[in-house]
Amino acid sequence: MLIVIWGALAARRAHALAVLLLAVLASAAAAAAPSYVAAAGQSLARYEMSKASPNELRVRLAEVVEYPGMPGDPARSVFATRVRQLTPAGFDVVLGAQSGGVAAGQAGRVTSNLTFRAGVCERVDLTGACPRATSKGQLPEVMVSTHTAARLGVVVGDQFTFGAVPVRVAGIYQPRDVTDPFWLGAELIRPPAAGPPGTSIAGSAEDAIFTADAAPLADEQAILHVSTADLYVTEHLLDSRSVQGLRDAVTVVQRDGSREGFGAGTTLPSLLDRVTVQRRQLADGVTLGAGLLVLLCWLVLFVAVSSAADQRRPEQGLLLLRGVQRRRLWALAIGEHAAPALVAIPLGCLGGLAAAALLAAHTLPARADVTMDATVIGFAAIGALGALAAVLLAQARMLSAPVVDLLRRVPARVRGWRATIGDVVAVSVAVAAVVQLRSGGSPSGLALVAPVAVALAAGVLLARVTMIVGAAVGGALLARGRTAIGLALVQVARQPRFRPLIALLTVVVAMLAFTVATSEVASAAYRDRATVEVGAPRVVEVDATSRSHLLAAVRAADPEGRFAMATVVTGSSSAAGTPLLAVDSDRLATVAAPHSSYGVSLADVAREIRPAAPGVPVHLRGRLLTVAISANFDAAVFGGNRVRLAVTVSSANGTRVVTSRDDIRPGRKGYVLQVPECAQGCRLVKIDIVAPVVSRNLEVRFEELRTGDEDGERETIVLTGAQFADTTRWRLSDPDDTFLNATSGIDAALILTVPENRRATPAGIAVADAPFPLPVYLTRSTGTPLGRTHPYDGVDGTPTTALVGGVADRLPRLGGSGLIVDLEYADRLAVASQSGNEEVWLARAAPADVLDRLRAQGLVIKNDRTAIALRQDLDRQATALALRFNMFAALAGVLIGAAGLIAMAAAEQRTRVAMLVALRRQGLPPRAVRGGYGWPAAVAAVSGVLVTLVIWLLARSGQRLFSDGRSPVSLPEWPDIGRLLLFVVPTVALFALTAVVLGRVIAAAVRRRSGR
Amino acid sequence: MSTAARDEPMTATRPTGGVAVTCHRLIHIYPTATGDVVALSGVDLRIAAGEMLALVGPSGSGKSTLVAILGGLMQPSAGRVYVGDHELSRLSAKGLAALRGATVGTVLQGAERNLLPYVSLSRNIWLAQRSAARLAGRRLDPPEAILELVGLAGAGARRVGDLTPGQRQRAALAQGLAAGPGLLLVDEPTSQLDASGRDEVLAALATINAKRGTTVVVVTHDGEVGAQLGRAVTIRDGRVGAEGRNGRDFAVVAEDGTIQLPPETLASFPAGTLFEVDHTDQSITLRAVATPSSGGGDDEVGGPGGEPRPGG
Repeated sequence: MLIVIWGALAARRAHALAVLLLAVLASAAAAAAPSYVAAAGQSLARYEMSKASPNELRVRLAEVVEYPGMPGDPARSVFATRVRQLTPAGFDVVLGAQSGGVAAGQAGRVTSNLTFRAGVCERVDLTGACPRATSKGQLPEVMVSTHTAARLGVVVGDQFTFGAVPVRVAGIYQPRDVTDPFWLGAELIRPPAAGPPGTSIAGSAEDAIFTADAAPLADEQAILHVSTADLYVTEHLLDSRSVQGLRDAVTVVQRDGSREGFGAGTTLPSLLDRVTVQRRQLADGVTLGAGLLVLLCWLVLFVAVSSAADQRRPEQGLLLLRGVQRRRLWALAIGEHAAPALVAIPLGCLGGLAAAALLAAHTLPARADVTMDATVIGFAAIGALGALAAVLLAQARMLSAPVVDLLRRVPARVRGWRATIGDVVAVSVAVAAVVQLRSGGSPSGLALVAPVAVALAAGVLLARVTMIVGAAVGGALLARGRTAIGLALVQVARQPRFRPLIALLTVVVAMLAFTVATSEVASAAYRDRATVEVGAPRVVEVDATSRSHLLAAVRAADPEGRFAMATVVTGSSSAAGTPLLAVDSDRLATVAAPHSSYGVSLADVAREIRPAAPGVPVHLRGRLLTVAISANFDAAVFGGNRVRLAVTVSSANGTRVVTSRDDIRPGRKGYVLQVPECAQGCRLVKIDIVAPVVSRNLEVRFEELRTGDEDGERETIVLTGAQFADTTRWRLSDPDDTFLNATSGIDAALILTVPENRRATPAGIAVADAPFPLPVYLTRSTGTPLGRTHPYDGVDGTPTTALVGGVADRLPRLGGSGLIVDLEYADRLAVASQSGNEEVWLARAAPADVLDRLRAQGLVIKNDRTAIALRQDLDRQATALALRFNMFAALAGVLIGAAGLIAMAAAEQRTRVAMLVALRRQGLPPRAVRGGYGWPAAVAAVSGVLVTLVIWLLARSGQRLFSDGRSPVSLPEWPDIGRLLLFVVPTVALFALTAVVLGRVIAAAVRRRSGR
Repeated sequence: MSTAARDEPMTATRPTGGVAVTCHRLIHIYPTATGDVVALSGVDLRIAAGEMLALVGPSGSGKSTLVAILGGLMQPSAGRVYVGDHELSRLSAKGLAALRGATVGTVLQGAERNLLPYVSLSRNIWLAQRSAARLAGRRLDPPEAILELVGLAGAGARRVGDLTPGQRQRAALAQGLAAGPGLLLVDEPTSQLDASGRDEVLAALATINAKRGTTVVVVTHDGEVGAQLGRAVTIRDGRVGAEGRNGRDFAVVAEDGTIQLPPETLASFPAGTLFEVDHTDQSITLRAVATPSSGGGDDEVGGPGGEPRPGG
């Protein structure tokens, strides 16, 4: 029997080779998916690690130690032994010790940590030397950072004290890369404080002071310190161990560490959670592309083998005629095709790995290794065995046909349920997939391949319709004498093998179009989200001493307002609250990135939120502030209730409430307040009269406001009585329960009346240097109509109200929910220093040295991000990587479709040529001698477009585009048609070209055989 | 004649010589989309064991259907057909397969259709012997011996593509003989051969019949072939219409008493013609007394008796 199988293989070399190639394709497609998922999973894990916070990368074990010496290397301590026992395999351990205290040098003092950390000297640039171990009686050696050295006023070789212990400076260091997890974020190298102009060298005076591994002290100098062990997770661990295994290991370390009496802390599980989610989304997303590829390979094998099987019917009939049993026929068929399928497994593994490596090299955000493992081999085997099953299914009808049918020259038509069972199965699967997809929740199982299932079902149905219509139209055309087109149509319609071919090509065109459309929409969605979520081309998160410092610093860095804008963003304090964006509105239209989803122009927004202020600000300069007032109230009735004066001032250091030392007494008096922050200038926010209970009516006349120095010289009148009396300059803190009047003339003053029985709440006047309620632009989703007031938490977190001056669909950074105000006005209305995130938004025109300019203004750069970088980030998430794989699969599907066309033509060429030769001899004109393969391509083009539309409507919503499942902007409803055509037209053209070439091959063969 | 039990296992040893064939009111109908087509409408035929017979008739007359039924390729719609001890209408698909593998050898029209092109002649014959080889006590001739029987001694290693048309046809016969069947059905063995090729094939058939005693049924259009085989049965419109023996043609009385007139006679006496029948012990005389057109006449059809009565 083997000889017969070998003979069949040798005789049908071309067919065997075609089966082999297609089985290799199927196997490679199946193997490529897990290879890519594994590589991309590695890459995603590495990428997540690169973005993780230091605490997410390590487990910290710590133990308090009282030891007569400097913090040193605990490697030989019991602590280290226990840590080694607790450490799971594969974790990198960094041992250390640290002790907090104050360092005092010639020039100053600084609060810092005296720290030992193994391996620190290899990660710094040093002036001097690394600290060496010293013996008892010697001065312990340390190294300090450049900033610390400057603060303490020490150089290499100098001494200073840490606590009561004198130490010697062996070296001055600068960390090479503070983003290295070794530095533990801000734990060792502290960020500088805002205020004085900064430098570009990382760190501050509070940076850790590093000791040597051993420096014993005298007993009386014992320092209490903490031994630490940081157990770092490594890339290799994430690659080689399951995430669940790592999670379990971390849990065990924390539990056992606590039992040992260690402090144990980590947020590593949150990193593992993100990796898990990303990997799962990747695997789910890739399922569609892998499913498409494998299905196409199986389908094309089915088409090719079905066509070839027709040629082999007489052979099967002959064997049955000779009494060969059917099981032997199956054995022969399996034997003939098992060899290519088995050979396909290793070749498919290699091909899949190569494809995955190629794809990984061009798409993954971080390095990843593509390796062969049991999963890859298993999937390759499934692909190849599926190919074998497709081959056998393609021959099943022939192998089960009656012998007399097999001996006929023309195969009998399939009738009854057998003729439609395939269609019914395809449609049922598609319906089940769509129902599952649209039932809500995260797609899984069949729902992941819903687009392919729908494409296949629609493809087979349209192919059936095409055959019926083709037969009718072809017959009619033949009857009218239009032989060429009529004969081609009839040939297609009467050849049942064209039906799966049409379905195959339809699936190819539809899935390519669908995948391109999804990628297009994803690309637009990423672009939109990056634009809206960042708000400007570049956003720098900064630390400023106050909002006014932020405003002033940015204005100084960009005096003309061409490229920088100060911004404060606050989240809402409650779930129902409204997030706030406060901007330097004059620069909004220039700096922020416009977007159509806002529904308004940024220039209109800026104009609306920055109307003219009712009054001017009151600026103060001087360390002392004197408020001259005349109070009129019955002091006896007030009894023990003190009445005091409180002034709120806002300076570059923040907003502060200052209370007078002296209580307010009836009569005229100048109340003096210490306002050192106003020495360099500040702004008056408000003046309050504070009393626990106002027992009787209280009247206060504001008559003069002066500033001066502590020595009483250079006193300046800031507000005269007449200026006080201009009531447009003031706003009552409580307009419902207090009253404001003014007198003019020589006794001009502002009179605040507080009615009796007022409790607790201060009564006062605020400078009306900003409109109140503040006009804002609000997002439509909040529901407050134009012209009404809307409650929100102000820029200082204080509840207040805004006047809705405009409604937008979305706002920069905030997306669909929030409001935008003018930062300067919001700051003027603020009564506290508390603030949200302070940011500087930068336009594309920002110069290269913009960060240096901001540092020069005393801002500390905390974070720097761009819309482009966010877009790249989104483009590196699991869902985007899956989309890229699916795109690769769809493009590979085009080649598979063309291969199917060729395979079918090759399989049936002999009979097709024989028929055309016979017809030619009977007078068929030469122009009518065609392959007829253009029709499946043409039909596929039309049906592909229809099917794409169907899939888009049914399955679009199930395609996950964002890993976190959210976007501030609605996804585009339809893709860019131009770009869609850019892919689909060449695909159809490729099929058409293939059909033309195949037609010419057949025509040439007919010419040779017929001699004309 | 005994009737084989349904699905009786094929345990018979190699048939000694040929097997007899009997068809009794054999009917076969093909159902089609446009209605039923009657291919055989009551064939009565007896072929003696070891006999050589030609089935002749125009296309569509039913002879291929008859051969397909005799070859165990399909079962008749009605009637009975016996091949040796086996009543074919009672055999299951498995029984028919066993029959094809051991008792009946069928050689299809077109020599290439009978041989796998990618293995040698010996391997082809070996493959055709697989079914019979499983039967207990069945001894099969080696492929070389079978090839020698058809005049292809020493050609076992060759493939069908290497042979002349005549050799191919004889190789096809060898394939049909591989399992040592008692009945050899051969469809148009000479249709694509020149005279010398035809003679070689007929000689091979004669050798097979003579040396093995195999019953040989040849379907042919070629009257000469029919004449050389000795007995030729004409199938017309699904019935046995006539029979020729030793160069003479005979009408055959069917078991239902009907008789088919030769086509040339039918031209003179169209359907509806009334005859008077006179018969003696030796002859039957039909005298036409009225035709549909003339309404009368005295034309005589018939002849002297004394010849053997066809069919019995």
